Amino acid sequence: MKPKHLISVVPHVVKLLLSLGILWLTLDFKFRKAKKTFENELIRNGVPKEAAKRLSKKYEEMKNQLKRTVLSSIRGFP
Amino acid sequence: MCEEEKEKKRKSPAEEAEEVKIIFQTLSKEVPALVKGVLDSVFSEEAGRSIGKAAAAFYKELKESGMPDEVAVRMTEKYIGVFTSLGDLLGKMGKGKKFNLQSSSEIDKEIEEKIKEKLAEKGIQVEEDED
Repeated sequence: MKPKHLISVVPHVVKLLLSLGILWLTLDFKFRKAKKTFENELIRNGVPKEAAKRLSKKYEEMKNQLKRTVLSSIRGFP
Repeated sequence: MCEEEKEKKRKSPAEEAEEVKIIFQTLSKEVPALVKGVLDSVFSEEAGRSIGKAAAAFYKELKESGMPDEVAVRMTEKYIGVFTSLGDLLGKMGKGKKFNLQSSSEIDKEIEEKIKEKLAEKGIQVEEDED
């Protein structure tokens, strides 16, 4: 493949990376909203506040685990 | 004859480049949408609300059957873990392992067994499903 052909692919690669980057950056914001809703829903349905906080920490753990997994797979990418 | 056919089938560099361009065009559209969909299924307001509702119902059920607070919270934590085993799934995919749907059902079974054990300790009998 010639360099001029490669150049035609560059915009798409950049678009892909940008979209994934935006998703990565907005994950925390989305998660904060989800966590708040999750906690409120627990309390609204009769779970004590202490327990709700503990459970929402578990929910947060899942997000952290996801981030770690993604980062480690990027690092392990050949 | 065969050589001629092969020669015909062989694509020119421009054609190959066009194909690669189309592949990347599709990837740049579909991959972000796919990732967004997967993330929204666990980390969105709607998902938070439905997981919260389910977890609260689970917790209440445990409490009503006489489970101590600490145990009920711990079991609900495990229950949430089943909902959000997305990280685990992606981890397995990243390592090239096959995702085994049985793993989540194993957790379900484990939870069910623990509930039965605790209920038996309390002297409450559980009706077995006859499916």
